Amino acid sequence: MIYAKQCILLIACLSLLGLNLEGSAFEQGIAAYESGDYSQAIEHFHTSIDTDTETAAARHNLALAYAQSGQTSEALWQLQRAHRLEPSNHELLIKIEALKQQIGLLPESYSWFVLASHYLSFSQWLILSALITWILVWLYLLGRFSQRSLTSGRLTTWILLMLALPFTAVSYLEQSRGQILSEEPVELRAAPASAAPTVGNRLPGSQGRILDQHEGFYKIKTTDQQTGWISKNNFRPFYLDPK
Amino acid sequence: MYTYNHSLKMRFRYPFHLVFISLLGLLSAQAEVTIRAYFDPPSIPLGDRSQYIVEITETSTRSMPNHQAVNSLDIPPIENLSLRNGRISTSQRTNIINFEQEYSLTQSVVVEADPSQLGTYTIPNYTVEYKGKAYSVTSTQLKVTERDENAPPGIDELIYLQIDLPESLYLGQSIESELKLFVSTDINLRGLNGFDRNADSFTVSELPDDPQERVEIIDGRRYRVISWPLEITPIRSGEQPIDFQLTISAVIPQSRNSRDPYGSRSPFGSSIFDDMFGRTERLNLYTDSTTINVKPLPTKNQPSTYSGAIGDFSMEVFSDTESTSVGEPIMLSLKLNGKGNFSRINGPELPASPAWRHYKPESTFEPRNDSDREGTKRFDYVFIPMKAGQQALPAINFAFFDPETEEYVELKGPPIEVAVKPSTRAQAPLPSTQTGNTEKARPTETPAPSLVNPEERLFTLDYQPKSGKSSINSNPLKNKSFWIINGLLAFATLGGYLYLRRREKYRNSETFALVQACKQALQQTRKELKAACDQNNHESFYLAAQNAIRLQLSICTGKNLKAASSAEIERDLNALSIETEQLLSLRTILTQADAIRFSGLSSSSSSSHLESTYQKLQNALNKLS
Repeated sequence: MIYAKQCILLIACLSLLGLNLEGSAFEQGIAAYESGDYSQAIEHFHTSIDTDTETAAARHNLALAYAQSGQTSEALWQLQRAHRLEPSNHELLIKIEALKQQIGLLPESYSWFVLASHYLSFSQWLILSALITWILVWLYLLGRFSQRSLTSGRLTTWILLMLALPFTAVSYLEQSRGQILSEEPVELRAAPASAAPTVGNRLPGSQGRILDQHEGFYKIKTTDQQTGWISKNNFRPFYLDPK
Repeated sequence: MYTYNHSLKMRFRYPFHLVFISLLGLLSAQAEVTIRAYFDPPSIPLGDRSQYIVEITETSTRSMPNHQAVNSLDIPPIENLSLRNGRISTSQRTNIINFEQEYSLTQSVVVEADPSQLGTYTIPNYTVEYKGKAYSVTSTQLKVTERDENAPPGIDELIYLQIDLPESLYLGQSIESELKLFVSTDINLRGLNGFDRNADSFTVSELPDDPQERVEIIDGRRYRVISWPLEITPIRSGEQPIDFQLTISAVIPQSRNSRDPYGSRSPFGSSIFDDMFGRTERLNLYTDSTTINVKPLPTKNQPSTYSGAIGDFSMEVFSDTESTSVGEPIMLSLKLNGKGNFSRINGPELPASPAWRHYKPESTFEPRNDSDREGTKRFDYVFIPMKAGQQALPAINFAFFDPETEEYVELKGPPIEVAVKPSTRAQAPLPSTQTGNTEKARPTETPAPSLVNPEERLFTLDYQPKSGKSSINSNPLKNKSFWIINGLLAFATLGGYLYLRRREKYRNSETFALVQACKQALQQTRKELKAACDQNNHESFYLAAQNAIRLQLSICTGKNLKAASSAEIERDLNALSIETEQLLSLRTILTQADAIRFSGLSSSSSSSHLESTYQKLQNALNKLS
């Protein structure tokens, strides 16, 4: 019994320590940023993201530190990532546009559909769609075998399903979206080889969707419909591989 | 002359002969496969082509053999004999000879044979697998003789494909070459059917829609020369093969048709018009197989500013103005003239400077002579001065590799002096606005001049380390738990559906309800029977037996016979088609039960008799069910 109490106390202390660690790295990052040591700030914010749960605030601050260090395309990627972690924060969208303007990219018009799909993650949309589907199936079964009329319930569920499915699809497509990371214009190539001829140049910060990949190259389609191969070092998806 | 009895004796005396003859007959009815290989024609003058034909014929007297396509032949390679462009044709034939039918199915594999030297070419024996069996393809020869001086020119002399390629290239070096189709004026070119290339280690531009055309006289013969410019860029180093193929339709004059070295004859046969005007043939033309030695770019003496340009260039650097003020942009332009891989050239990277802020350049290209490899490419850099005074724009260095001299060349532009006057605009300081609940005093600071726009008011930190949202990366479709849970839900839904359907049936159908109730009661009664048998309790046994029979009959007939009289039970038993033995057993049991029940007679039979009665009852009940 005594040992049980001691164990509980130890676990509580460790949890607090974890919290403190997260706050500590984050706070250290803020302190480094405010003192002008941006490389140190970058390191601290990365530690904060790696050691504890990834937060929109850490990504946002990391973006500012990168921007101050002159790595504007990396900063833009971090802000895009922060936006996906906290879609309700419109401040992030404003900052994204400001940074794009600084890089020299055209402003992007966000369709309400794509923005709404960011409010839940793809897994949440999928689980929601699956749940609504099951509810619809059970309502049909219940209506078949009971005396009650469940038309209104079924109708409501159909409407919810018709709303959830497109968002799930859009969210799924967004999984393959990414951004060019290089600090200089990057060549898109006709084949996945560094010696292949170019089919176009794209400015850093330009977005695209991954169509295919081969060895160290992604095949992407940019927002202005240009298709080409790009080195994986120069392109990073917004939704990272959990591995 | 044999009598009937004698022939009978023969039949029974020699049964094995009959079996043997039947087997022979059966075997003879099996399909027979023959393979024949030959050159057509077997002898040609140098410059002409022949066809190597392998015919696989399957014959049967029973029915048309089933077709199994031969997809490949393992033909041994022969030096100086090119075998390519194989195609398969199939034909079926039925012969009736002496009122007996013979079916044959022939697959012909036809391959173009193109010898490059005089001599005799022998394709040795090899095996081909057909319908699970291996068959030997006999060897065959092709003789290539000197062309007779008086003989008409070979088809290769009248129409051929050519491309001039260098022996070596550097990796990434683009070249322009012409693919030329030479067509003798004797031949009427009808159309171009296809273009193909064997150039995996190169990128090749598409064939232009508008070729150039001219007339040339070569060795006294007039040719129509159709040429297409192609841009070729090697993307892998080493010895790399490259060749091209063109498929065309042309009308070959009548004198050329007698040997018909190409293509297939018209299925409609020949006509007088064909003889007058020549026959349209589909020809596959190839350039000579070539390999190009693709060399990697040398690393020795490679300038640090080199970024992939290959060719020969000159450079011009200039600015649009020689004076400006702080914050007012000016443009620095770099012009590259010459010949090379312009598509791969990017604007040189300029070093950062505290005096200037610059942006990535815009580029434009003006081709010369409609070629992407010759022309002028211009890069325009925007510079914003950050300090007043006499400032020098950074020098631009451009390095390229000259494949002619096989050396790197670095062109250095001079730094351009610009007079920068002080700014006339006031600069706004960075704001110190806070977000979130925590108020922190932040010292005012001037922004890093080359990075943060002074007018930007949005570079404020987020001080709230809110709880994380780490699930945005996960993909449930790749998660087993997602599928397991959905599978369980599906299983539960199906189970629920079946249960509800059964319950509905139970409610709506009296017969169903009766049968279900009787089944349950019968299960219980069987247990009572067993118990009574074990206890040697005749009275309970026969009572339970009677109940069991009634319940089983209710299940079989769908009628409620739980309280039926013996006569009704007898009637229903007779109505069912059961074996007499079982019927008798059931009758005996029922009679005995009635006797015990109504007349108070107790059975004095032994336990073994009861056991056997129990077994008989069980068998009868199982038969009824």
